[in-house]
Amino acid sequence: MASDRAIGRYRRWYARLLRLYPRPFHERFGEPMAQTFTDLCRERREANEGLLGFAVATFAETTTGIMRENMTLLMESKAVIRWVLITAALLAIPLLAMVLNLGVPDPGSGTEGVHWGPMDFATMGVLILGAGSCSSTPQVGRGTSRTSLPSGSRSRRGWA
Amino acid sequence: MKNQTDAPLTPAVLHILLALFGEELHGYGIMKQVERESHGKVKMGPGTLYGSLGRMMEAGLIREGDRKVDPGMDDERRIYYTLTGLGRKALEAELDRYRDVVAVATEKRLPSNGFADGI
Repeated sequence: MASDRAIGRYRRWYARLLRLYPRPFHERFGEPMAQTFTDLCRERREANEGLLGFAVATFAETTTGIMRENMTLLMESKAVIRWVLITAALLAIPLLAMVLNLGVPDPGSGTEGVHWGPMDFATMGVLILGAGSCSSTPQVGRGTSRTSLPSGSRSRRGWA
Repeated sequence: MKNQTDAPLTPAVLHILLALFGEELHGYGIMKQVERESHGKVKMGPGTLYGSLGRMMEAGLIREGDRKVDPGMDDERRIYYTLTGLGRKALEAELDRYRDVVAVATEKRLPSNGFADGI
């Protein structure tokens, strides 16, 4: 049977996991979630059931929630969407040039036209997106209101 | 533009609204109520529950009530959640949708005990 000490230990680990939620979410729900986790642990103890399997399952379920909340926050940041579109638009230029066989002489290879491989596109994409996300970091989480939550997905697919 | 209460609810939100109908509950209380009302078929983990609660609060379906001690549990103070007027309307609209579906099924004389008999 699990002791209070074991439950306390699991709660501490769980509280650490909860820190991975976006800050506004964690500030609002971190404590109630840890409390609920403790309640569930006590329920298991009273039913004489082991804690380890339950803890692993709950940690996995909560990790899914963490990823969902972080993705929601990220996707709802207009700055990120704007930079993804800008990156796609910029990368479309060499892609179009390759497809239409346009271009200028390439002194490196001695051939004419644009010849980008997948790695070139990937590198440029990372560079443009990286520059964009650095310039918009204050709007992507840290700079958001501490009391506000990431807004829900009701506009896309109904409530929650 | 559609009224906000016309938007369909996810199963988790529907069950939370049902659990909060007529009483305020804290997180663990909501979990247990949902489990009871669904006869053990719906079990929510903390990640699903609080993610839904956050979105529901933002949508104005529920609100945080007082922070108080549950006399049936320990001495920790807990946040209680309450249904709002909008939440009540959203629940009623969803239940109307379900009633409409059941009415169609009844009209078509669909069996209530499954489709295993050759339909």
